[in-house]
Amino acid sequence: MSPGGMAVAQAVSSRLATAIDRALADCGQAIGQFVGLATAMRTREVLLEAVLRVPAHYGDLDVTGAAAYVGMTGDVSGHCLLFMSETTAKALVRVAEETLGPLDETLADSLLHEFGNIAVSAFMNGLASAGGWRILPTPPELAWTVRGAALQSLLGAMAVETDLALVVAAEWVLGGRDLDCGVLVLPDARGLSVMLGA
Amino acid sequence: MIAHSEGASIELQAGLGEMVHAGHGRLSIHGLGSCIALSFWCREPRVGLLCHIVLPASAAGLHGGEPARFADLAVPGALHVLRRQYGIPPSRVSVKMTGGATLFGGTVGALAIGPRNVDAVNDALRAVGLASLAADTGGRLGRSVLLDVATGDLHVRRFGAEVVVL
Amino acid sequence: MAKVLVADDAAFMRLRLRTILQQAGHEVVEAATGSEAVDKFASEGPNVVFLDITMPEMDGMEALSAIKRSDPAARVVMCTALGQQNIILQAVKDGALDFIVKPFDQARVLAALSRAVS
Repeated sequence: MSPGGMAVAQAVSSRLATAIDRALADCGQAIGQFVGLATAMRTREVLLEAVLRVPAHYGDLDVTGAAAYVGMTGDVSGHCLLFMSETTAKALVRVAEETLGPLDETLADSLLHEFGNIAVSAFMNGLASAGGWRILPTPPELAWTVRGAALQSLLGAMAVETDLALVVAAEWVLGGRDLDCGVLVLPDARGLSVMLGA
Repeated sequence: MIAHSEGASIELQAGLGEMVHAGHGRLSIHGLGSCIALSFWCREPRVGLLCHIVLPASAAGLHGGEPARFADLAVPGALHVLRRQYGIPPSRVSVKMTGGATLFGGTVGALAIGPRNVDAVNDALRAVGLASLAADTGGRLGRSVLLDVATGDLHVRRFGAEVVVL
Repeated sequence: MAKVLVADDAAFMRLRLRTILQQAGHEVVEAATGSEAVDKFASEGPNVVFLDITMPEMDGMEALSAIKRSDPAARVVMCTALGQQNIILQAVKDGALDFIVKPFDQARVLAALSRAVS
């Protein structure tokens, strides 16, 4: 259990915990199908944590890479992020080029943008199905930046209205190689009350 | 707060809402989006202080205890530490700021808090008769910062643009 | 051989679908938003439309309704990452012939196309 965070088993119902697990499994499956590589979940974290202390759970805030932001709207609202290192992003572009031919910068960015859409939508689909909700993604936005800045942007938005966050996060290893990506889901105050009411 | 030691030089990292200060070494923030990195520096005695500010202003009853969470409390809080712990009055302090970017989202909503943070920090400085010597704020790029306590230089790494030294 | 309108805000996705469809001998036109999809449906007269849902400006559900209003016989296949039961039911109710959930493979796309044109 991560230091400082409340284990989800203590904080939320087992029904919600199961719903989140299903959503993460669906997310991982979609990731594997999209990138076309064998995918394994490496870490998984579901906890209630003070918004300002969330970054402490992340190893390396200094990794530069691609951050795809997807907003969550509908019954459960909030903020989601797909992040991968520059190394992983470039490797995934090369994998795609094997079937599609050379991809320029616009297409490479679009691939990452769509990766965010597919991964986060899969999570939302799983959660929506398990909880009986309607959860809609916003069109993704892509930023090439350092992980800490992308994470902080979401946490800053959360801090405007709440001190506490339900943090759902997982990392997957892609292709059994040194490639990985992570997804983070932060329901906002309204979204969290809907989820906890389940 | 995370501390790293590389040989003789220590680096203190300020997490969200935190304030770090020292008489030597480096003070840093790794990953700045909408937040503000506000540095205070005095040549004699040589002291640096770095605030990682998250929000513009404290609301009644909403104060979690982090000294630099709110701009309106961080500025007087920093000056209080400098005076009480180091005997430094505001007149001997130089101030620099960076951050307040908007990485995602449009110009309205909680994701766009960056520019409001910039305004709030400037207001808070003005309220105590200070102004920042140098600033690199706004835009759509993430940043990381390092205050070199020996020189007072604020190194701002911008992801997607060149490094600036304020 | 069919003329297919591919509407998706991601250029990468349009490329993927274009590649699959052109390799199968079909003609492809593209749109990047829901409103562009509605316009191109009118100007290009495709046999089938592949329509994403999550798009800026006008989303795919709105575009679906607009296209069906302009031509009730329009053949539209939703192609989206948004795969929730209530959305799927709504799309079918609004006239979509099929609903592909991304990520998809080539076989799924071609099967949907052949069903749509038959």
